[in-house]
Amino acid sequence: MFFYSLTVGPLKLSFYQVIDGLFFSSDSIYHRIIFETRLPRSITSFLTGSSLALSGMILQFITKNSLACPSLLGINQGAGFGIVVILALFPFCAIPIYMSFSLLGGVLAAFLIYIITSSIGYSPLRLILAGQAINALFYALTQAILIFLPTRSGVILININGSLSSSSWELLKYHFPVLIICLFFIMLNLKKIHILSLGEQVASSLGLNVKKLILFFLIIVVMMCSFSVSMIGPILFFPLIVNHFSKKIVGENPFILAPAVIIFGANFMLISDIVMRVLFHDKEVAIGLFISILGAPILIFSSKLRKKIISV
Amino acid sequence: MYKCLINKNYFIFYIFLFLLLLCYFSLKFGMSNYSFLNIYEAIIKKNLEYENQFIIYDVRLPRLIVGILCGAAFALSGSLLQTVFRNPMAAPDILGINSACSFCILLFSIYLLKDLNLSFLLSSFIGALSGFLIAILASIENKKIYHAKLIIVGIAIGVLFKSLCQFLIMQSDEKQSAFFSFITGTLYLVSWDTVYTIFIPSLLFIIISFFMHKKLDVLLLNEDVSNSIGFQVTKWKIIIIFISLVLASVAVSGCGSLGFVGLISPNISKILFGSFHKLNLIGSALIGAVLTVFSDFLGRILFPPYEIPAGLITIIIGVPYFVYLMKKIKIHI
Repeated sequence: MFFYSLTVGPLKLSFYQVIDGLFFSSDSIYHRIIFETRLPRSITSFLTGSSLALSGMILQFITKNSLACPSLLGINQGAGFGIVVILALFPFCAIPIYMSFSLLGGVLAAFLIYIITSSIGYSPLRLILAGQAINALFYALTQAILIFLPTRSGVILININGSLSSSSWELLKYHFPVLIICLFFIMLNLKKIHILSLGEQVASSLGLNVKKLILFFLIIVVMMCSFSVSMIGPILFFPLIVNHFSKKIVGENPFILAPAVIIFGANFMLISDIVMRVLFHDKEVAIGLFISILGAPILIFSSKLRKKIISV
Repeated sequence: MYKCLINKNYFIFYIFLFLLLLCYFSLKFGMSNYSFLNIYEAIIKKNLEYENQFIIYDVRLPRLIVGILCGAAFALSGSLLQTVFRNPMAAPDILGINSACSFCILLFSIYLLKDLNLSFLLSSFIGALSGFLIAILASIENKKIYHAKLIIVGIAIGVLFKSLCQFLIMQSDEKQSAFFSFITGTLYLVSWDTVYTIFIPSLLFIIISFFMHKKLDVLLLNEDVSNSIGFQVTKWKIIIIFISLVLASVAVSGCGSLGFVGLISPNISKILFGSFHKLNLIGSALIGAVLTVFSDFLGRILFPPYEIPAGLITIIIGVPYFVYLMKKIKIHI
């Protein structure tokens, strides 16, 4: 998939040309196209796909709720709001500032969710409704800000719907290390997540500090989501789709599920990017739209399968 | 008991007075302010020579009328749905009906007319019907509708149609901003044409739904009880759902999908007027109208050169109330 995504575009290349451009000839036009535009795009989609999917998985394990997903909880929209704020204030800011504002938005959304659910009591449906409320709120605020920037709203509109078009080496340089470290960190701590998913009593009897651990994982989840959002914009439903399918295929054991989720997420993001590029090759159509059109039926189906959990 | 009734009647009177005051303010203030005399001359005497009369009569007055009608229609639609499903969370925007309506309107106006024309009541109703049918079919299980699932399915359908709308908007390059403010819900695009199209159907169905109050009271009873007194529950449920769908689709074709109006106003009215529908329906229609006109007014005067769509203001007002509502309702979810 990774190699295939390199061949697709306004100028279609063969596999041979890709390999040639990537490794051997350094001054041909293929080399320029691949190296400047397509390679960062593919790496970006690979990275963000896997980290979004993995953060969805962790949230599902921590909340024991198969409908939990960072985008349904408003974290993605919050990060998107942070980005729009910083773009409205300083259109040409440095990337670290841009990243930190996106993180700030994500943290704000997570904090709001925490306050709301702790005041109204926790249940899977309440969590999602609270998330929807926060989603709507941040959506409204984002739109309100966009009204004041009529000239740039077109670009930002594509950005906040989720698009890979803005990926570049410049963005990757800062995001790549952070996301990779987060991914590795989670892979190393899978055992703790597994224990947490068994319930608080089991976890604390095994000597784990449950509250600290959950807080810690939440911070990582928010970090991964916000940084992915700051690269490609808030994509709805993506983690939900990936987790739904990978759970069906490999079961619920986190040690097998995590790698499956990562691989599947990366593949899925690449595929949707390719589909959008092939279908609409003359203009940039936001990939987020495609994914949310695909994801809504899956949300319905997964709520159908998990009847027991919901109807409690 | 008698005193209590009088109190409630007074409440309706107060809200009505407040609405009138709000109408006056929204005609008076804006980018440029006018005196009472100006408004009087423009509306009653139809003395339309001056520029300011044009603004009052042709810009602000239709907005006001459409705002009142659409707000009332959204609120009533929410009330009817909440009674039928016995679920205080049911509302046209939560069930995804609003975004289905706006999707159909966009589809018709982009591919058939190449222009944003909101006079497609029929297309809007097709959208409402299809959105509602999808929601119901997806949430039926063992011939029963689970409240929790209806809401989740509704959210999913809402997101689905919203992203389809955005997809359509991106396909049509020109007039992007007009389309975009249409899906968030705004009264900016309203003219006298809109008033002419929606005035009769919305008023008609608002009045019809006022006449339904006895049926709605019976629907609140246990199903066995109402069957035993010879009341055909299923038939009336279908009729009432039909009315509420028409109301929602008329309202969407008037001003786009205003979020949370259909959810909040019936609930406030239930707090103020109790659950008997005779007062409840009138109260909820008035509250919906107040909410819509107020958000439109606020959006116009907050940052004068720019205009914030009323839909965004209703969302910002509505979200805290929504959270409060979730806290209050302990049952079912």
